[in-house]
Amino acid sequence: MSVRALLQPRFLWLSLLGVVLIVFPYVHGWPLFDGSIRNLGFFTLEITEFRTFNATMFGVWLLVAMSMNLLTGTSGQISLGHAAVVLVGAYTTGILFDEFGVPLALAVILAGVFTGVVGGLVIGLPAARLSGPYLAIATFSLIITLPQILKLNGINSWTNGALGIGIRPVEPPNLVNDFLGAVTRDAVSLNERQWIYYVTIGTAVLMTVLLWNITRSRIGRAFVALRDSEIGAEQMGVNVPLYKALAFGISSFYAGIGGGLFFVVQTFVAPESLRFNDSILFLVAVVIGGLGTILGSVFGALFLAFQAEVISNLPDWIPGLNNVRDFERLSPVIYGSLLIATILTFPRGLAGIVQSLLSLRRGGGIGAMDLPALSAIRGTLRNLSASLPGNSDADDSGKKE
Amino acid sequence: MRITKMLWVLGILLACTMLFLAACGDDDGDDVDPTDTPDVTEPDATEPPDGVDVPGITDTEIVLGTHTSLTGPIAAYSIIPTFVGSYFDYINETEGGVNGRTITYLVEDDQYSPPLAVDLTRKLVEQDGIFALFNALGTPNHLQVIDYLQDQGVPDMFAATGATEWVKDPAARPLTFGSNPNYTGEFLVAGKYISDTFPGGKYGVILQNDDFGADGLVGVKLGVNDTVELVGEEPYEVTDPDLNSQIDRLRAAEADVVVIVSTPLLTANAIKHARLDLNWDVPFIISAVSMNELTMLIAGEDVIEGTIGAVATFMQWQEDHPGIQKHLEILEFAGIDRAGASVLTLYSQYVAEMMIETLSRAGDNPTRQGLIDAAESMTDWFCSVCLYAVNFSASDHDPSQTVALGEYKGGRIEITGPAYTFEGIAVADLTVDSLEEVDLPEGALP
Amino acid sequence: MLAAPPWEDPDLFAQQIVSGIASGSLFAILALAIVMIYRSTDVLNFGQGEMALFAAFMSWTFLTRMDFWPAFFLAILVAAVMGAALERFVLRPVSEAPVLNSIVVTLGLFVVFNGLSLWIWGSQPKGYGPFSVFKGDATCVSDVCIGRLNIGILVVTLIIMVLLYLLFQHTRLGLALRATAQNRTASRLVGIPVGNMLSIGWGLAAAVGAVAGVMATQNLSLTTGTMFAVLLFAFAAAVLGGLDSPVGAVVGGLSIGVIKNLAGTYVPPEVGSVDLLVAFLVIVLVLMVRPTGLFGRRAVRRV
Repeated sequence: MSVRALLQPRFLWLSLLGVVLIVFPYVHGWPLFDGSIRNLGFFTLEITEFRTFNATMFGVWLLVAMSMNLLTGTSGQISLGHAAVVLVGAYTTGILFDEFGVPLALAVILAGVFTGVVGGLVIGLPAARLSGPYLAIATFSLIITLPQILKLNGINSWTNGALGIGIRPVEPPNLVNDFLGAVTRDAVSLNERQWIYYVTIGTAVLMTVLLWNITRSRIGRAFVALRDSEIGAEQMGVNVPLYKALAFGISSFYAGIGGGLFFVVQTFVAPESLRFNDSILFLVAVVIGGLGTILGSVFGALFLAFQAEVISNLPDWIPGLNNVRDFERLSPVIYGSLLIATILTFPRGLAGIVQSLLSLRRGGGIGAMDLPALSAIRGTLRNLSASLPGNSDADDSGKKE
Repeated sequence: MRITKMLWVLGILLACTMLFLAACGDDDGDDVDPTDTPDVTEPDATEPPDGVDVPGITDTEIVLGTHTSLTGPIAAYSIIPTFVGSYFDYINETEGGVNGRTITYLVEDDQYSPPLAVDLTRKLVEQDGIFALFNALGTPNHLQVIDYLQDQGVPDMFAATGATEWVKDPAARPLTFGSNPNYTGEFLVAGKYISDTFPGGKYGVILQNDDFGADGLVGVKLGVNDTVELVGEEPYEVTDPDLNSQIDRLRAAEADVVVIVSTPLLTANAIKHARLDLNWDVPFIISAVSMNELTMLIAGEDVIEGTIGAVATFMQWQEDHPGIQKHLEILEFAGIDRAGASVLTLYSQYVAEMMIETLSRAGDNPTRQGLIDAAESMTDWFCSVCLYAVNFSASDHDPSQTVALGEYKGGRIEITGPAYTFEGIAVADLTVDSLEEVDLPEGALP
Repeated sequence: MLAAPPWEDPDLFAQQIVSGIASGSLFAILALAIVMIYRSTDVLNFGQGEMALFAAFMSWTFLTRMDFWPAFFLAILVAAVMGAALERFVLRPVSEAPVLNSIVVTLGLFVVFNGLSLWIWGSQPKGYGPFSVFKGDATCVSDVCIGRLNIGILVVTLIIMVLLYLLFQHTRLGLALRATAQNRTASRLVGIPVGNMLSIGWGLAAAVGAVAGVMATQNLSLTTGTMFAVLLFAFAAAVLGGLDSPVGAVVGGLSIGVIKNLAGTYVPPEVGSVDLLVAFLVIVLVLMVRPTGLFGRRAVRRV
């Protein structure tokens, strides 16, 4: 890599993000962020230890949001049962660890693979026959029936019925702390929540890179074709049932890993740990974040990570509202209205705003705003027509490099 | 080439896995044991030396928090945190708080969602620095955070539950205390009542398909002790809109009495179905969770007449009782209409008084361990509206071992008895022989 | 304890079916509203249950001033106006956006209406019904009984189904509504006031929803937590029957009620509680064979 490449803005931004992610679990002790600077208007600059957990859950939600976004945003398959898939990942991890003594890390990966295979075969293949709202409701039966399945007498001994499965928080390995201690002369060490933060964020970053590559591969383009028009995709030689199953499979793999980490981070899972409401929230998160882009998934994950506080504090943030009767109870009304307002104002989600702003700054003008999307579609069509049967050099992924 | 890039990524993923794997390999032996007691007792003696910081305690303030429902599907219980908050305000105003410190009560609305409860509980502990969690409400949500609280050494005071799982083993969960008599004990008494009232008859049970229902079923069976024939165990899921099918089956099985281990909405619907749709005049015994005005409002006064269930406090219409007079005074202080007094507000007064008592016993320099010790020191303590005494000990985090039965009569709940005490909480201890009939307190009967 | 098989205890079998139909009619009546909106505007309305609940709460308020029937019709009228207004000001801006955007908007409506009901009428359940002709003793044949209110709900459901069927198949308005849902541009070209049609569709659906709300809450309870469970099953019913068929919605709703009850009764208890599982398995199996539900028509769309 040349020096010039290292100085490119994109690389600098990514490095900065990397540094922030690495130092984040230590920031809460630093003078600037310990709440000593108060009264910046209504805002207090304070990063507490809670934020480490908050950021860890952000990592988990990022995996879930990417999974949802790959399925819905990229491939156009609406699922209302996604919480069930995440829950299966969490339970698989828990059962492998608790019943079979599989090490946690391996259990998470196996859970991802298991969930991926199950998602591809059990949901994906039947789903190939369904579309739109019919698919949505068929998948919704997953999350409605899963609690009953988990409590069946046959598997009760594994799932522990309604009481769920719990573990102790994961400690950082001695190896890591010994190494850190040796390098920094005992100045830095990891506690359990910092360790699980790094594991989760690390996994999330790697899986993001992987997804980035998947969406830019032949598979990803087939998914987009599937979303834009199933019949069109079929005519261009995309094997629709296969790719639908694949979309569910890969998405479920992500959800399974996310679910596994959900279990490890929360140290607990029960049949009602995730419910229909959460399924809906996942969908809302990616639509608000932005469909079909990784940036959209990031915004979606932020939405999921902060919604608890937002819901709980919303009425306090609106000036004058505390004179209204029962104002604490207004939070759902405000929350729902904000949801509607956001989607009305920014139909392409928060990621859509960012993309528009970027294309404006690059001098494209207003007219250029939608060009990226258009050219992406055009590119897809071109690539797909290249892969039609009878076209000799069908493997375009090799050709482009 | 993309393939190579992806291989790289997979390689790195694998490397990380190995590292993580090594990590868990280390801990496997000593950390998976679920009965492993976290180190909560190590740093604090009961009286901290001056100048040692205890979270949530300042010279003038004690900060308590809770996750509960103000909105969402079980918002009907939101009167509890509201009234508890008013009670603390009342104590702050009239008595200057506890031991010179006022109580601040942070109420976080989790909308009955487990992931939200986790976020909010962690925020209360790690950001707001609460001294203790108090009267957390909602079984699945609290289940998601209960072990976290033990790990962090945060007292989990008087959770709004009677689930035996949470309180049956104080060695495993030393920081969690219940606030209702445990469900198994409660239904043990119901079973005893069935055995005495319907000898040689038949009974059926409708139960929520989780540990609440399971606890109740175990209790009824122990209490009946095979003197009455069980003709149906009918489970349901919390997503079910009604219990019609379950009621129909018990009717076909010719049950003489039906036990419903459920929440107010579904309990009321089941009773309505039997009475209005089937003309079936079977007696019902319902859970203490549903033995309140919510169930009566939904079912209707005429329909629910004669239904029996466990009660723990004097009733708001017994205005001669000093505890009830205090209750009405606090209602007025809180600006709640007198008609708003209910079993739920009375329950709120009971838990709030129990918290105040625990705090005051914890002394001038309270610590978290001190709070646990103070709660465990409560024997034969009466709240102002309680029918029976509260008893805790180091081996028992279940507040009450006495259950009295009440009945819906003419649009209100009356305490009718009988009342029994039982010993312990484990199934092995709870037998029908351990039940001992006790008198109702003076003035309880109408 | 395993229930006696139908040939030994026919009364239990019959009672389970009757009660299944009674529960199912609640799902069916709300499913009709969902179908109404889907058929006229192509939107899956997640807010339907809470809008229905809101209407039921409104009728509770009206009841303090008037009798049941005027309150009932006033609530339906207000709900219809509200529905039309929602379409005009909230749904129409997203009508050209991807279908997911309109789903998110209806989810927003779900949250807003539930929140408004809670804020305005509080968390305590309201004493509500049964009213007027729905009040009375149960009717029993042999040992099989059905409540007066349940008969009422079933009758109301069937009336609405027939009215909707007639509206869609035999009136000019119905034709225009269908045309609008199918192809807006073409409808505009032949002179159909598309905007008005969409508003009318939502208004009518909200009116049907209001009926559903008033009937369901009389039977279950008038609290903010009531309609959610009904909504879940109503969606299942609408999809089982076919999202664009009023007859399908009713058949779907009743079938789900019956299947759930029979599964709860005749599956051996050793397996565990499986009634939901069986009901939804049936839905998925039906969708495998008929991807657009029992009565739904396969949509043919251009590439």
